[in-house]
Amino acid sequence: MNDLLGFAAYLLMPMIGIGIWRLDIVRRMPLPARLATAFAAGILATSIVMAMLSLISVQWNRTKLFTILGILAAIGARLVITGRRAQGAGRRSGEGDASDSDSPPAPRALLPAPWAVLILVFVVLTGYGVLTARESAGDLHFFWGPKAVRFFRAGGIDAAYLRQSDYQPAHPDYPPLVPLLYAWSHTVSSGSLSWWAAVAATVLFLFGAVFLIHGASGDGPGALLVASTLSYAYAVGFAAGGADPPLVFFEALTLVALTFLANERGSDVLAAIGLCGAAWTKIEGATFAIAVVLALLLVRRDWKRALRISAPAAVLLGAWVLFVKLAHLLELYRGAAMDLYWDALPGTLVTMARTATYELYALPWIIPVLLLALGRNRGAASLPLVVAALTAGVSVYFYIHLPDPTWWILASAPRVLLTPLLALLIAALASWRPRAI
Amino acid sequence: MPHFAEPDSRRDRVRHVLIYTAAVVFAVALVLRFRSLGGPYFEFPDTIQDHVSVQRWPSADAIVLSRNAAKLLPRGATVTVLQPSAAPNYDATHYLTAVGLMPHQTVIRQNLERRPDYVLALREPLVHPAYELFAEVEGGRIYKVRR
Repeated sequence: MNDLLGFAAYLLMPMIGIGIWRLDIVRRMPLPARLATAFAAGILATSIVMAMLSLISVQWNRTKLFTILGILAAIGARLVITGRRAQGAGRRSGEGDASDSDSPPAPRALLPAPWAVLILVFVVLTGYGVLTARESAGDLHFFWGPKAVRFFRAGGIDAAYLRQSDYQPAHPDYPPLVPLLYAWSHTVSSGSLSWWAAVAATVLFLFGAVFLIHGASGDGPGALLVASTLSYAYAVGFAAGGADPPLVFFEALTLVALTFLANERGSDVLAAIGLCGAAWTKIEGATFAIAVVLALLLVRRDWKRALRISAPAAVLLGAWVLFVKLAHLLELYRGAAMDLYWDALPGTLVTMARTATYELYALPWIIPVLLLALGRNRGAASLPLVVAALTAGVSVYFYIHLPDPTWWILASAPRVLLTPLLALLIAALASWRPRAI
Repeated sequence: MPHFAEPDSRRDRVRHVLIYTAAVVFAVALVLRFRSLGGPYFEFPDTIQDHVSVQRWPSADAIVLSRNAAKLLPRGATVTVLQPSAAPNYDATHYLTAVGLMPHQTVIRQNLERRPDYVLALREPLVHPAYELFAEVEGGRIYKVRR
């Protein structure tokens, strides 16, 4: 029962974030993608609410969180309903989008497409892998979970716990979204933190990303490629229960919004939510945000859009860094300014290349590279491709801050490389079917 | 609206073959990987670390021992977790794992000079003049500081 309640907490997220359905661009997506966008918005809203309550010294408990998040869900639902009514009235008075209202519904196929069946196979395989403890991240028990337990018990972000020297190896300065999310799950289950719910949530994050990509690109086989590649890479990287599945999920939201969706306000909102979520999930999320901004400047030369979508993430991350400083926590954000060991570069590249094979002759990379080579609209792939290159480059840059990073690379690269891998997969899809919905 | 690729059925077929072949290869590789991590294959495991390696993973033992010790030890007691022959190696694997599982106790680093009230010893007995055996539970032994 504890595990079921703990998992149900994650399933409540789309209800909390349902207000995002108000956006036209989301309304035009198929239901699974709409659920995934609401899932992302719900997680971000929940973690911000929990952090804000901590900031003003209001202790969480189930009643307070259910009340506040319930109000958020109700406001969101009302926004969606009034939006629909307004749209309906617009249609009746002839102001609506004719293409929306006049087009006949697409005929339903009797049998699901082969790609859909195969995606389901990967849902089952990943579900099996996580529920038989074959994909679990060690970091869940080392720091994400303990932080969540302590935050739950303290009813807030527990700076005193984070400050203790005994817990320095647990990265006290890491962004708070994942421990807050697990603390929310703990709040719902109440009894104890459900470690099983945390690893099972990986399925939601992984296939949430797949639904987003399919919903925005309309590319079924492409979604299958993402589902199969990431399912395999997550298993090899032991990602389940760690921060990488939510990180990749938020990154997918940003990349699909910038790559597949029309350049309008709604896609900027989605991209911004993705960047906020990524920046508040892992330090790597901040470097991803910087890579996206640089890619927008380099490829599209659109500094206004870059500013628009990155400003909320900068504010959120800035607030967290300020908290880290004011609470006197161990701070690694300045790690990038530490000495570099250029002598370690060749060895780093060799070890990274070995790790990047994912024990399958680098197939996860080879297929998207082949598709990119064969694709006709490579221009549409430029932005995610630049993000892939920058995030891979940043990984190398961080690794050479140690004179011999071999162990570090072996322990982390299969997960760290998920970001450039995702960006490359999206680039490969974009090079074939750039499509605005 | 971005322009679409010119329809090219041969290219599309090549794309489909690549994607579906890769998906089948990934599926088979996943099944083989899960198989290589050892059985039992259709039982709900005791801990989330039970099958991350063919060999039993150290943190799986730490989870079982911490879970059992949490029920026996008094609230507020200071505790550390170690494998006597390996400490201070695997410090994070051992004591950090206990932090989330023993919320009513205070888990500290593996420094016996600090004389934690209890030491959870994984896999093998602890021989230390300052500690005596308190209990033997699934996953290891619990030692109490001599007062």
